[in-house]
Amino acid sequence: MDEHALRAELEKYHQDSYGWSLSCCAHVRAEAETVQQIVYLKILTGKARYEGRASFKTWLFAVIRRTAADERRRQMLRRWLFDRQAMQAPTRLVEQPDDALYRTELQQIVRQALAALPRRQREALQLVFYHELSLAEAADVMNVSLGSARTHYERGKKRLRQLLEEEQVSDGTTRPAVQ
Amino acid sequence: MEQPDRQFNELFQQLKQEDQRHAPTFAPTFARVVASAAAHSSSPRWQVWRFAAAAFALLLGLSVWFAFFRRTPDERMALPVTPPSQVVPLRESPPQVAVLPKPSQPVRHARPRPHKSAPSLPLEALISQWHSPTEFLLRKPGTALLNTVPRLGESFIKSKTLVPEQHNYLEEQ
Repeated sequence: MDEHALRAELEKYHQDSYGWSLSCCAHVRAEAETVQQIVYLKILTGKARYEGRASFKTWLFAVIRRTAADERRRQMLRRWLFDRQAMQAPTRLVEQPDDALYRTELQQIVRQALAALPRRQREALQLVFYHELSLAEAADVMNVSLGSARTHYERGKKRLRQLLEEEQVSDGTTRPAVQ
Repeated sequence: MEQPDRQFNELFQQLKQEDQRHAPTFAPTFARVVASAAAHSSSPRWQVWRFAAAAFALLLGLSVWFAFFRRTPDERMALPVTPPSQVVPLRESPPQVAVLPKPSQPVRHARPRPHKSAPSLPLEALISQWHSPTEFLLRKPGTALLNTVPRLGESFIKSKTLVPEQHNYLEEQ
């Protein structure tokens, strides 16, 4: 694939890839943008090469997932070496000030519930519902078997439903939660 | 798609729309990456430095390994080495006590030992004097009793008893 074709494909999936980077980086925008740029750089320099074994979107998402994991490890190492206190702090959804202005209450609840899910389950749900991939494609991106992806997907749905219901009950309000 | 799945889908699509509002535009992002790629390819120094650092680390590791796990040539010279092809006759010359390793095998933690003079006894005598290092485990407490012929008036049990002729100092006090 030449550079023009690559550029066209990357442009086509730019929004989607940003959304996937965001979910791989715990919704930290700066990190997501960095990961996206690293991925583009890898593709342009030929470190990541599309060989046509899966769809371009699936392949791109798999590269993003691996790059985000590498970045996460690198940051962990950096924190471990230079900032032990930050290492001990629990990881949680990072809320930026301007985000809160635009988010509805329901979106915040869904994001918090998603952040509480195990990573694999969150990834499976995100790929299927957010990016509208099939389970087989999600399994390719997650680098797991189809059966394993299905298990993560089903468990994730169940757990997310529980979390949303708990949130609705504890609040005492009637929100349009999932039945 | 089932009803709960459809509701999940709607929720996630709302999140997606919101995320896409904040997404950076493609053109500047890609231009930045292209510039970065050009800078990356025009500076091969980075590659050279990486290679040099890897080579240095390898050398350092090797030298540490040699220092701790290998003998120095001087230490190797200090050990008496008999070539394996040379057969020592059993009766005519005293046997070599130290078992020497084959030259091809690496020796770990071997240190030069003080050279002992070989005994002048024949090999048969040496074999007859050999004792197992675990021989003491075979010794029993009553071995001395079983190996001797008992005699009248002699006892292995040593206990003090008071006979009538002896004074009992405890009673007098």
